[in-house]
Amino acid sequence: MSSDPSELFDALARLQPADAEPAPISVPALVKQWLERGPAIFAGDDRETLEALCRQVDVRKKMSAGYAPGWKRLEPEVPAAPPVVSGVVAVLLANAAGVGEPGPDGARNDGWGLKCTNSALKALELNEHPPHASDLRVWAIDVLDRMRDAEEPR
Amino acid sequence: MSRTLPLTVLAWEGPQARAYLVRMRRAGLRAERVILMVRDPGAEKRGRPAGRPSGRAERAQDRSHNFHPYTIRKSSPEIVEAIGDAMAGIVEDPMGFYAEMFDGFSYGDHASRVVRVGANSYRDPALAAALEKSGAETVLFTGGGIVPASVFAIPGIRLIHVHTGYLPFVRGADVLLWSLLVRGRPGVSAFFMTPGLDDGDVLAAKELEPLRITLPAGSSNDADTLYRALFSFIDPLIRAELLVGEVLAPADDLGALSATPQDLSTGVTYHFMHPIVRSRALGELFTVPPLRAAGGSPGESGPSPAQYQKYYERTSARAPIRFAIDASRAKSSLRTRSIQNRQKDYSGLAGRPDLLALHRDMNRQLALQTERWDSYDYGEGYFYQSSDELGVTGLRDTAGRVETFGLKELVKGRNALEIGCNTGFLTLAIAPEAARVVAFELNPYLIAIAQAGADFLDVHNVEFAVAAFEDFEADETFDDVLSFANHHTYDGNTRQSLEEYFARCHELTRPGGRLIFESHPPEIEGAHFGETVKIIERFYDIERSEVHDYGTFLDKNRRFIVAIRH
Repeated sequence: MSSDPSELFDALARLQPADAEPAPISVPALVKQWLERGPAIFAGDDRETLEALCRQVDVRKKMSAGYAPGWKRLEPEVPAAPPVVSGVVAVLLANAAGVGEPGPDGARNDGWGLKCTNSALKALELNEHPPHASDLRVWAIDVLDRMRDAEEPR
Repeated sequence: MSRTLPLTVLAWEGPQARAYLVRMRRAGLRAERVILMVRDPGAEKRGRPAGRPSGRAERAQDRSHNFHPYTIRKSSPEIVEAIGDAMAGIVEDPMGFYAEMFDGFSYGDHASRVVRVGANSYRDPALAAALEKSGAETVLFTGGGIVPASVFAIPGIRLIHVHTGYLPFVRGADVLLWSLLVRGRPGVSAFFMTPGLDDGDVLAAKELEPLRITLPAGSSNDADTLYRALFSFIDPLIRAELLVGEVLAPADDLGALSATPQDLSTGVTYHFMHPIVRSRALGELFTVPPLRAAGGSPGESGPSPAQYQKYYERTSARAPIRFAIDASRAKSSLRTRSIQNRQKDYSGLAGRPDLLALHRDMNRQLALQTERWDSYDYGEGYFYQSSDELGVTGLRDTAGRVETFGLKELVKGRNALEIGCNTGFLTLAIAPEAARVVAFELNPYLIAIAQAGADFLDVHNVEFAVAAFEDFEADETFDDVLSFANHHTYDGNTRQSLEEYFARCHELTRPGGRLIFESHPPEIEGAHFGETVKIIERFYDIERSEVHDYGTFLDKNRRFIVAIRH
């Protein structure tokens, strides 16, 4: 298993579909761009976009390949391919790099990172065999193991 | 003498609505009106609107919506008492509070008027019509669904909601649990609702002292029960205390409540927790001692295997009926599963006198275990491990475990030692590929079952022994040492530290040999599994470290490690 997120990002970037169906919001295109950029904690527009993807996973329990503006469903709705799902999971877990340090606003843990990890675990269950599933699960559980507990000062 | 507030409580039947009304009554307050939504499940199933609410529908709804608190109070009173002890710092006399909520509760005792509306959801037009007709202005939302735009559009209406997260930092779902994980303590906020998610102006908000509930030894600790207890006995009281204590009781004029806009650029919107994350969060709240301290017998949560022995003398048409009845009455979900799986196994015994005889012998050992073994029964009166070859469904998926981890390939032609082999069904599954396997287990009844299985399958290259790892002696080392969720045990029988455990594993592994390791589920390993990995790394070089989603709920998400001895 690769313990270096960059290596996993590279491996997943190589698995991304070459030709994605065009859509106003194309998840494969987003994932390809994010993976090529490397692991990072998002801010601004990227964070908003990732948050919208979390809502799809957490609330609708689906990830589609494309969405209409405002993250509305396209007809027909095509599920995101397994490598794309794995790519989203890796990006979510990279956003959890801050877990293990105190969070903002007096928080004991980084809420954004834990939210992303929560969505990552759910996303891994959307498909039967997303690539690198085991590595991604190990990563997710390692994030949870880094959480600061009650004994550590806020 | 109570004061009637110009407040309409929009009651979705359940602990939340009841807690608000009980707390108000304790403060000498009554709602002007309760609008009680009454579901008509028959109409709902047919896709039709709810009809006129009947007393029968209302009583059925009470039983349905309050099922979990009623059940937990009856089947696990020790959990409720432990919660009550902890909640005494938040509300006065919590146990009395629960009695007021669930023993003879009547909406009519808490409001000047109760209006019953047949409505299957908040979207039902009958609900908006009832609200508009009532002229209600200040309405208390009590959960149960998303409020549609049609309700917000009612002229003059303002809805108050109380949410167990400290706004603006914690918004969304499961917020009490997210508050515990992220902020280390519960929080609560009362605010005016908007069509958005938890973004309205705040009436009152606070964070509470960290909350920790110590459950007595032997009490149920399955995550579902604790989650339901949270929303039956903890969350509703936290909300009610803030609402009444800091918003309703001090208010001279509900029409002039002062609220502060939130800083929406800060905070996180959370969603319902994944089971692994939820278990971690519940672990922040509940402390559960190991079951061994209870000294309770496994039979306490269900019939003893001895009661089923007669069904294994000869197959009987009555057995499946008995199993189905007992499964429906079992006190825990794990015990239910064990009896259901026993029923499944039984259906495979017809026409197989050899298999019936084996199951008879194995069940006899399970019965002796229930009678004489004073420690935790992983199999809940049944078999923990599955075995396709022996016709046992089990609680864990042996075939899945073997295939997912590639165990047969790993042990091919090698001498292996298995620590804590339970009934040995995993041992027997891999033995045909191995050169030889030595497997030991502390529980003699499980070893007797293992030996019966070996005899049935005509497996001759396995030596089973009764031993604790601390006392196990061998004058040889092994190519592979198999440690499957035994590095610390749920039953509290482990007498050595993790360091000592892996040091012993190391001694028993030949130079260049391997440790093949499986963890407990992440919710049992808790927050410090990283330390376990570091200890392993002191003795071995880790070659594979994986997490797989396979098998039953007991199998999922365990860490699998293959490591080479230094």
